[in-house]
Amino acid sequence: MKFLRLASLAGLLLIAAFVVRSLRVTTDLSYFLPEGDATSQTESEILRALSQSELSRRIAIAISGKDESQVLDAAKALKVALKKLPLRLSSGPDEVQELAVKLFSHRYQFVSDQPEQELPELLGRDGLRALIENLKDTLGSPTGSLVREVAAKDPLLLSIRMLERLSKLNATSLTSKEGVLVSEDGKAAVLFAVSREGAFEGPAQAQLWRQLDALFPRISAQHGNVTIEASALARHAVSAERGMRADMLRVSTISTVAVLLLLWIVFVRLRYLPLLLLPLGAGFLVGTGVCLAAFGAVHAMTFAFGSALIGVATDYPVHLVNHLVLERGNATGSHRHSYIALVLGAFTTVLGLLCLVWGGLPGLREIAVFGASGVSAALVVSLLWVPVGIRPGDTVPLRHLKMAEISGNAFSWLRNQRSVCWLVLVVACVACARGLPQLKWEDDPRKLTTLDPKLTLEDSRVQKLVAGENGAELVVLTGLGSEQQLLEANDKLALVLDRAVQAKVLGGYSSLHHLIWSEELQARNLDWIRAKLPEGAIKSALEQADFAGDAFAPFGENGSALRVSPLRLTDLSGRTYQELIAPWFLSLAPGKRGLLTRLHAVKDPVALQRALAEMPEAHYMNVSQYQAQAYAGFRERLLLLLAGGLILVALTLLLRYRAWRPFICSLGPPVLAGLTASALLALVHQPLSLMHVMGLLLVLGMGADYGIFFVESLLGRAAFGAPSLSVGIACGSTVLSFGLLALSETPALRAVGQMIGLGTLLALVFAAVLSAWLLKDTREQAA
Amino acid sequence: MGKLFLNRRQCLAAALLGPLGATLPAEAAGEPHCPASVAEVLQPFSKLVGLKADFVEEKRILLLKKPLVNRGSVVFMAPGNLVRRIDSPTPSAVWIRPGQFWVRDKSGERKLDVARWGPANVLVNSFLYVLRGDVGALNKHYRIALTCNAGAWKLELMPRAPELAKIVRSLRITGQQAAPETLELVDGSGDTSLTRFGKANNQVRYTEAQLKRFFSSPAAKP
Repeated sequence: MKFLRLASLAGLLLIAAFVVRSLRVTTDLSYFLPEGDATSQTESEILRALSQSELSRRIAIAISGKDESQVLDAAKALKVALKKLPLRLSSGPDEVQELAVKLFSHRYQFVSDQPEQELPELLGRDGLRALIENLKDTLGSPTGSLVREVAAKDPLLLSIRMLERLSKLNATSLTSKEGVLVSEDGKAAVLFAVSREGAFEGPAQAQLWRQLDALFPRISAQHGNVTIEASALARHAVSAERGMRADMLRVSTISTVAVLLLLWIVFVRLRYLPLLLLPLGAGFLVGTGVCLAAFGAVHAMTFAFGSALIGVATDYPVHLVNHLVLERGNATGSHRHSYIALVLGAFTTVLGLLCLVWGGLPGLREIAVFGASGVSAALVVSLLWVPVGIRPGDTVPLRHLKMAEISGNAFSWLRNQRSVCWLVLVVACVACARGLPQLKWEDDPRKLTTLDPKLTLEDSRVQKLVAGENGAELVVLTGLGSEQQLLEANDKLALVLDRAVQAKVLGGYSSLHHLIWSEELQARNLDWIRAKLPEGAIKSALEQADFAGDAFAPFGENGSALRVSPLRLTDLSGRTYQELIAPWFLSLAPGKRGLLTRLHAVKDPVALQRALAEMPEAHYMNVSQYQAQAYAGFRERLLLLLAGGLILVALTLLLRYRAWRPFICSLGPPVLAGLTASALLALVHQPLSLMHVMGLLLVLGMGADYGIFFVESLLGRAAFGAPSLSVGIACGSTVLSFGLLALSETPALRAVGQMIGLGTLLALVFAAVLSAWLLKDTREQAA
Repeated sequence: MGKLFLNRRQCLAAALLGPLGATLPAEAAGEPHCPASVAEVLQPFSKLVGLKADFVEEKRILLLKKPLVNRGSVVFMAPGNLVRRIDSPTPSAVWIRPGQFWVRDKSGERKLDVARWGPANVLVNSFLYVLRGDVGALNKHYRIALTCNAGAWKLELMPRAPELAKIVRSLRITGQQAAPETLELVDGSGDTSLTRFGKANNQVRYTEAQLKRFFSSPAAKP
């Protein structure tokens, strides 16, 4: 035993060293994203990629003031200051202009999406006549001078078609002034920036937003108190993380103090506290170490649950201390049954937790690994170290004795009150019958976190100004090797989406196709024009419309305009590529890229899905709807796991007891507690979420302990005092720690708190009631 | 956005031509009088509140064998609103407001970003300087030559800045006594636009809503 103790101590020290060296806490969003099965794997990858993408790192900053010169001055000063931060400022229209200039020399390669079908009509005799008439009309119009300069080289105004397509990418009403985008009324300026780090890189984003939050008021004060507001996904993430951290600190502080107070009230002797807390510390340490080894980092949410483990891991030392102090460990049967109860209780808890490992959600898997390893370590440390601190000659403090006596008497009283037992069970059944049919599920993962209403309002003000798109609905092309293959598929996708727009299935879309086409499509356009459109035909049409044909050179000197190579992405400058092209590509996995198209106003998602069926590489996603569906699917899967876990626990208990009464008394409480807690929450119109189901799993694992403790104490012929008091303290500490999560401002933590707080309390009641009702006192039998 | 790369230097030229001829009040009949200075020619502009005038514009574009002829009207509201509308052959309109330039043609209504390109902005403002009779501001951007013969005067404006000279070679306003007759713009490419004004009503007053309607609806009468 001494060797085992030393080995455990050495092991804990090693783990502590590892934790100190490798501790990394994350708040990554993918924690909540399901991994899914093969079919939804791509969608999950897309969501992960989107969460890291440039789109999610974009920051829009609006500067509002009394007039244009004031906001321009402030915006320019802000631009200078922003350059010192880990951001990349987007210069917006300059890149579009650069691209537009480049596109002009490629005008014959960007004429039609379907050159073989459209060009014969567009550039046939009648088509040319119509195009030349259009040139004449345009030259005579107020904007005639805009096309005058290009008309000699481009009498068909093909470059204008390209530019009109390009303009679909930017529907904003902002105009550029002195390098700054300004609103129509001139009272607001907008700057765009892209953060260097991902939107969900907690510490880096927190640091950046601390700097921005300090910078904005400074610039504002220097420029007549202009209003500076920002909109960014990362800002919400930082705010949510701040809220979660504050929650964690508050809940864990209160729960730790409350649990310590409870332990001191019951055990009186302060020197027992280290015995009671050592398993907790060991559990927390081992849980952290195992998670770091398995996942490389620990999510803040896992720590939130880890701190709540305080309530569970105290059960074992509490039970042992009560047994060793109150029963002096004298009765051999009682001694053996106490240890069996501990091991069996921990085993069922770990079984319940391990079910989460196969849930397919990284966050739950991490919590499961943390919990299972932590609970196991807490049990081992309890068994090895708690007996060391109990002196054989210790007298039992009066208060401790009194509380055990009260607990024992309460249980004895219950054994004589069959009607109370009936009443409790009937009330539970009625609650279940009324509540469970009303049960509603809330599967939208956005509801798991709370958005700061002030930030949300600010966000909407800025988004209104920049006419931002929410980007919730999109099509992503995947499964293609090269950029060119993706661009070819993108050309095809644009045709499908154009048809969908014509059929009013879709309001519109923004795509890289508005900006650049695949080399293959460019070549097809040029090939057709080279083969079928002589320059003389254009000049003849011009002459017929009273133009001076000699003044035009549509194909350039010696046909140079038809000898250009297709425009390649590599032909663009680094900055143009980074600003205009890169945001459309997603890095799904190493060596695997996706290409994004944003949809506007999808009116008939089913019809759109049908239209896209011809392109297996195109994945239509409504991000929020997909997440909700994925979470709903995941929840259903989790409920199945719960059933599976229940069967495992049931088999374990059946193997142990081989009799229906103790089996019912040990398995019944968590099952009844889970159902009743769900029903009660439904009765108060609280929709249940994935986190409630997760709590249910924990109720199943922990609630079984209470029944087991009662059953084993009765089988071991122990006095009722020690086990009743132990179960009471275990339940109290669990409610104090998990139950306090119900006060959290983070809905995810609140859901867990509601279910576990209520569930464990009910599990205690049902464990006491069922044991008192169904189990005979083996001491009576012996007598 | 898409048209940003194109040269918009002459885009306001047509608008510039419109109201000038209509702004000078008719002078009492009598001996032909030659204004002694540019300030004297432009002085009546500063008192304008609103006006309306019809015009015929002849655009001679080097690419075309025959001139394009536009017919329409201009409506002005002090201090800086002007709508110039072409009714035939192809309806279109421009609306110049302080710092803004709106266009309506067959492709719809849109705002052009004139401020992005400095010389175009000067051109817009030059037009407003004329309407306000702001000789000082005009002198800042143009060398102005005044000639007069038997009461028929001619103002010739030559850009001072090379950037402005790229989009407008010269601007000529002619008139008889206090009534302007023609406006001629020679743009950077050598194309010319000659506008002849009909009878002007310089006593009209408009609301912004009326101007907007006149701009947006080809059928609206101010």
